[in-house]
Amino acid sequence: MSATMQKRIRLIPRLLIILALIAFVGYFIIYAIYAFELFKFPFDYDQGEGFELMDTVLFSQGEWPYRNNDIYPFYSSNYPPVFHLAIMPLVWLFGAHYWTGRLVSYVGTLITAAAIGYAVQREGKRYWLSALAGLAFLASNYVYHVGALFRQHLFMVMFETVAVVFMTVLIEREEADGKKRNGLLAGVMALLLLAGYTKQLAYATVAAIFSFFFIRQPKRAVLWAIPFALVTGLLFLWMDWATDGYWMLNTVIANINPFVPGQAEGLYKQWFMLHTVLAVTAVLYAIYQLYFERLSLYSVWFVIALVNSATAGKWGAGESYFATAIAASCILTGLAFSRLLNWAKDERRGFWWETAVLILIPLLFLVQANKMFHMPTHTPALAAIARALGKPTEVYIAPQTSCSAPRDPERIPYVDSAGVSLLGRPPNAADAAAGKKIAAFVAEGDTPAFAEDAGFNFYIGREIVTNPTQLLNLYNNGEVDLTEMLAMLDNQEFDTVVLRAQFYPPETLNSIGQQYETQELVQMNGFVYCVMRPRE
Amino acid sequence: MSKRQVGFLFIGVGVLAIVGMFGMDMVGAGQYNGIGPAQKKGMIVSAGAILFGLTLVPLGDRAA
Repeated sequence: MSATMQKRIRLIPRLLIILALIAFVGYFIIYAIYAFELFKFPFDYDQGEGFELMDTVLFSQGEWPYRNNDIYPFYSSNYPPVFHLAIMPLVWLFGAHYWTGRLVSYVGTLITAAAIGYAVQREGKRYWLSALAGLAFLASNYVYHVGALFRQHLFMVMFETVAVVFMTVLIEREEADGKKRNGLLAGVMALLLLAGYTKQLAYATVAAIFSFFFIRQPKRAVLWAIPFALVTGLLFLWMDWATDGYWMLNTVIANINPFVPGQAEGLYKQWFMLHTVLAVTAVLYAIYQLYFERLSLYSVWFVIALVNSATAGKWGAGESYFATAIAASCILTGLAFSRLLNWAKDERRGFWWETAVLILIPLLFLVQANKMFHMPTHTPALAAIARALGKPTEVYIAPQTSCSAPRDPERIPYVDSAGVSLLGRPPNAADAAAGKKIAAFVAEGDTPAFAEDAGFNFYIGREIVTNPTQLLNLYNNGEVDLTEMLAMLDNQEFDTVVLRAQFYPPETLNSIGQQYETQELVQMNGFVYCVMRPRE
Repeated sequence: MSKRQVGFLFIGVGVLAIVGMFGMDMVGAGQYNGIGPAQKKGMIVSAGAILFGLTLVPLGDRAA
């Protein structure tokens, strides 16, 4: 074949790489649009965000959020403190705003993506591939849904990913020159501690790192596991002592929730369907490493994280529990493709092999991009792009009702391969107006609202009363005494009650039903809120 | 560790888990007569660990 012909054929993989980069940069832009709309939105978008803000406010005032739920204001947190402590300076500077935690979580996902890109780049030395691996993480439907929310899960994934990448670098450098790097190892342990005290689920990554460490250096792994366990345990005991036992009650006992096998099975299937290329490549590369070369930490991490994703089947858990496995699969995919490119680049393979692999890899990324399609279509430009890609430009979803009559499906300008999703559509002016309307209703009374979302009380500067899901968790474990709360409701001591999903314990809901009646139904973010006043 | 050692580790853990599950019955800790549903799942996982370990044993002294 002539050199000119070869040159022309070489244009095909280049074009495909550019297309793949456009697709994933496009997802990144969409993620940024969604994040900036969320930053502007002053109420809860996902149930529970306001309570994370409340935790941050309590820390910023030098108080623990692990409290006695039996007494007014019946509030406690069920999450460890690191995420809230990281946001605390922003609350000191700017006050209690939802954007503070959303921004920190969003930046955390960018750091995770950068760590993934770095992990691939240091081995593969191809910027386009490293960029695609990092951007693929941000393009995941699950990361998109929750990455810019005031939730701590992806902040934990950031610590986990950085710890795993550092540990890999550390072991490789030590094995290359035989010098021990205990300072860097202590840094990895600190990152693991931060991950675990951001969210308890990080134990899977702790297990992965120590399993890998044990395979490579058994004696040293045991020697480091002892102080790590000691520090983790002492910190736990100190917090439990400092909170009179409410740390243990609220973060451990309250998290013992029933396991729903169907939920776990459904989420595994959905994860695989949405992330097929990443999942298959990661599994194949992990098997290859297991049987034909040395296991990398990334493979061990991926397998343990994937098994641990089964905990997504717990009541109250969900898709975000797959985020660690997704981060690991992005790294393994980037590394596997780097190896494949190096293999094909060998002069013995010749022009056609190299070209075929160079075409295959961006094509697989494009297939992956199509599988995880999600796009808000609230602007004419975004709707036009969705249409040009042959995707629908809207879906019809019935608003979520729990305390009011079912409603007809409504047009939602957001499409998502994950199916019907209440997360992902950027909140709009109507949602903000609805939130302000409920807040104004609460402001007409003199007391804080007994509300399932914290946002309305925050908006008018009133105290936050109750954390409904936490109360339900404790109730289901027989660890809360509702006497005082029920007496206050029976005496109609709250001027307003706001329900969204009826997450409160049954006895609380019963008391609300007897003493309060719905005055207004207000729809916000696809949920119908029941705004209630005391019965005459 | 070698691949063989990792294989033996998985086999050992799998065997210990099965012995532990039957041991629970012997001390009367189980809720069911015979093999209960949790034990059945545990046995399947343990058997999987043993089989996985067995595939690693032939790989010998190559570094894991």
